[in-house]
Amino acid sequence: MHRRNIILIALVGILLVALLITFAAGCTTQKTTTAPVTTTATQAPPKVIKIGTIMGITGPLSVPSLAFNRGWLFYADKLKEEGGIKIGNDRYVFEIINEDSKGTAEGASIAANKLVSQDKVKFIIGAMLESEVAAIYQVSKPAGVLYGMANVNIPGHAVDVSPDKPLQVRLSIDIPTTIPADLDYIIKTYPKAKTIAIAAPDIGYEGMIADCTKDAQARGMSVIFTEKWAWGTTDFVPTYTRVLNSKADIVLAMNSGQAMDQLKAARQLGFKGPFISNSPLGADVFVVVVKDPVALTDVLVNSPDIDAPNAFMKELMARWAKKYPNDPFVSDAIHSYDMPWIIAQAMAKAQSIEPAAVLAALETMTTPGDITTSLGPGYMGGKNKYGVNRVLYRPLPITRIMNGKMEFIGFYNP
Amino acid sequence: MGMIRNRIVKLSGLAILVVLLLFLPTMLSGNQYLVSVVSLAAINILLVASLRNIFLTDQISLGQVGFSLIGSYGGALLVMKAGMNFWAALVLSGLLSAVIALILGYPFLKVKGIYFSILTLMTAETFRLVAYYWRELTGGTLGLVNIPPASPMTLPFIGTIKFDTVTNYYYIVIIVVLICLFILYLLERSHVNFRWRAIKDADELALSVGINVIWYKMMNFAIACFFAGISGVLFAFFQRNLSADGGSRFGITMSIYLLVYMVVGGHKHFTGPIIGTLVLTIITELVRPMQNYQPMIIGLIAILVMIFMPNGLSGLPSQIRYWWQQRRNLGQTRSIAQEPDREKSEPS
Amino acid sequence: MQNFKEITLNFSIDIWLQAIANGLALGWLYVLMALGMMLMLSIMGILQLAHGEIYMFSAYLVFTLYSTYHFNLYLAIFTIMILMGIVGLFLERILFRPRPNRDPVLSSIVISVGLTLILTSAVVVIFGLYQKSLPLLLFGSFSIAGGGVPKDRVLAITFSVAAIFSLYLFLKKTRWGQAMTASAQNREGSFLKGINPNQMSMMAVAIGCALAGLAGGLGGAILQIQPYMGSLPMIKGLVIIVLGGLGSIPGALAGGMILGLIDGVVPVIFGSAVAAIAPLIIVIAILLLRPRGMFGHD
Repeated sequence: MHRRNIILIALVGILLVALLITFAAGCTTQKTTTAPVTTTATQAPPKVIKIGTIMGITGPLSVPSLAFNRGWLFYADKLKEEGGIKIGNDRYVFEIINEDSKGTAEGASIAANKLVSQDKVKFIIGAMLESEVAAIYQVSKPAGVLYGMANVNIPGHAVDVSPDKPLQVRLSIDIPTTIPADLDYIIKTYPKAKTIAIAAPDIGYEGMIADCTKDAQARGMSVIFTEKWAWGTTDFVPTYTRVLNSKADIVLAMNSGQAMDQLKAARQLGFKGPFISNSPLGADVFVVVVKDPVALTDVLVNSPDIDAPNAFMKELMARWAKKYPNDPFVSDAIHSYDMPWIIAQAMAKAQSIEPAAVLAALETMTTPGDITTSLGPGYMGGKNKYGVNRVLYRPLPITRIMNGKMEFIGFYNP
Repeated sequence: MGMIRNRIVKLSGLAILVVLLLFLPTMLSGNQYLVSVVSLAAINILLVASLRNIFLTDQISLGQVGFSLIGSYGGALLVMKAGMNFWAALVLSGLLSAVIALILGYPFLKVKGIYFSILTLMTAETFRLVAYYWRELTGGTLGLVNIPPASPMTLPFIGTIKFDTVTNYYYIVIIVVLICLFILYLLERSHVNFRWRAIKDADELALSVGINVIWYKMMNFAIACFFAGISGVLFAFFQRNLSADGGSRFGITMSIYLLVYMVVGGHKHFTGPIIGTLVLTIITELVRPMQNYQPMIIGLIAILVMIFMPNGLSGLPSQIRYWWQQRRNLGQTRSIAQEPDREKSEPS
Repeated sequence: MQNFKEITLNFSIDIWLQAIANGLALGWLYVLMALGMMLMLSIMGILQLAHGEIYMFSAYLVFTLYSTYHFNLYLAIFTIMILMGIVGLFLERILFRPRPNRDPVLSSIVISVGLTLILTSAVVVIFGLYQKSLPLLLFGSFSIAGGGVPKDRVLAITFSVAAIFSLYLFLKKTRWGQAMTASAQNREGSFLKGINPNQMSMMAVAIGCALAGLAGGLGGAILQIQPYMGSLPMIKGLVIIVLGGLGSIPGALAGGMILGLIDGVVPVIFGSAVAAIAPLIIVIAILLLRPRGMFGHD
């Protein structure tokens, strides 16, 4: 009994000390402004713009967040090396503050509140789920902060960009634009395939499915079956039992981060036709996860091929290899790397760091080529569909995987 | 004389605390982050208090999040679809939770021990899945967005207050939670709690002396779920959008955290849930720089507390008093009667 | 929900067979979890909510053995099974030993919950957030009446059945096993007979964790490996225990088959909403109406 008391008091003491230490550490990390900056000898040190990011680092969607966070940080590094954005007589660099939303709306709320109230950021990028997007915008808008969405599952959802939402912009591409690209390639390469079965998560893809049906019909194909699977499914065999029962020639796994598991299920159940995944999920992830060369055949993916990188990708991969030599490169980092870059380009054009001015500048960059992205010349568009030019359009890579090997097909310009 | 002075000290301490809470936003000079953390903590405190209330009859409910869900969606839908005033919706949703708890309570409360916990866990999951899939009613997987702020209030001398900001809404949260906690506190000092304690200690014995066990258990369950519903409504108008997916606050993970909050704070004292929630919320916020470790830290604390301090943080004073007395009694006979009471729970 | 008649008529017999076979395959995996949890529940009175995380951790460990140390996949699974058994012994000693000052129900729930949080977080910290996967145990699938049943699921069934059969023999034929059975049926009675409850507890946790280890290795190969893969098998295990009843292995097997059938057929016919809710409703109904389950004791 006596010894236990001592242990208990010691533990409580250690806990208190640990608390104090974490508090002190937390306070100081929040207060540091810049990491060492390379500056040209004749110029004053660049000023810092804080950019907050919110991803579900803990929680069910944690796996993509790793690559996303690293991509953001890499861009901040690159900007520092270049000396920053020149606006007027000042140069500006970015400081990225990564926060965790825990994959929940209230976590995103609190993270956003912290970034806005405590860190006083002017820009926020992030979120994977619609509920997080709504939560973040609720905080960012009253504070005059520009919010760039990092992902959209349901284009056109109530929380998506729209005319009545100043200060919200989408920095990830419009997924529906991938469908015409993929279908055109299918017609060229698999001329006999005419019927399509769609497997989509049941979170509101009706609009995209309707668009896809139209696009298919315009090309002489037809969507004969749609299967909506529950969000959170891990076992796709029942889903694909139904999908393959339709005997369609082509299977489209619509905008899902779990397309590789769906591929596994489809192939195991005996599907031999072309399999399309139109999310940005990397072809490299498919190869790593599925492993079986027989399954990894006739797979069409809208991601860059990291075995055939262009100049931008090479540079990013080199940075990654230098900083994380033991971790294989994940192509999600390319998409996140572009996001602060686009903001930087808009700032340069607006010659201002004020969020509203930056957004206004973005809305004028509507000609292909106005925005440079890692995957080619891009622009802001979407006025027809969403009422405002606040969605990113850029070249869509198409990669085919045959016998376990990735083949880069090319870019399709929307 | 000493007892009255004790009381005055306690009451004035409480009054100071209430004043502090009401002036918190001003003190924090409008730092929305901290105000929102405190608001959410208060909402969770009420939920954990409802969990502890059920524990007064020796049942561990892992389903409070389900009743919170009924409150959240109920309150939001009443205001959005039926055009009700926020305050009416608040009370009505609480009552809705309580009624559902009464209906379910009769069969549920006959089940004892761990099976009751499994039952409540499954029930909460069922509620959540129904809300998640019923798109026409709750927006389903898309979630319920654009919940309007709580109805503006017009007060004499102050004018109309709109509750669309975190700071203004904080006042509603604090006042409602304080009132609810006060009611729960009164309940715990009332004769009703004598019956509940009797049921907790030896329910068959209680039955034999004429206590209508199932009725008191049902009443307890309904009251607790009423407050869980209130907590849910407060949350809905704090967050202004709701989502019922697996990782949300209506899922199993949150049930787990609620239990940890209660245990770390201590289940024997009324202040247990308050202390537990506050301490763990603060720790969660402090470890933001090391997000990956956050669940591990909470889990570790939960296990350590359970092994070394089973009465939690609020039981610490009596634990220390006991050891102090032990030290003074070294050399004399240790009296078992001096050990802190294990079986009875003491209010405050 | 689609029209019931329209769906059943649209499905040919091979679809039904496929659905049933695939459901049963996973069902056997969940039976492994259920048996472990059931042993712990009936012998120690503890609800091991962290069992899913043991399953998940095993999958990650098998992955590590396979990819970093280049073990043969089967050898890796077997090794981890033994390893988790040993880990179980430590868990019992440190965490689950009953102490005098503690409410046993509350403390077991809280400790297992704390363990869940620790393991989920630890796996991310130790293994990182990368997409990981194990190769399929076997490629290809058997053709059953025109539909495909993945071969690896059939193999997983075989392993599960072997493990369950071994457990059954152990419980029925060896002295330790019989002592455990007695302990499961009546704790106080077996104590009077001189059976050491601590030893029984240690064995229960060890066997339970070993079974979860096997399930994790197999599950990781069949499904994906990710930090939250453990919660579903744990819930399925719980459903099976309630269905089959405590203290009865045949009950757990029957429960597993029924759950497998439901899991395989219901999503195919009714879609995922009903498939998710149906097992929960069944559990609630059983707990209220026939808490003993189908074959259970007490």
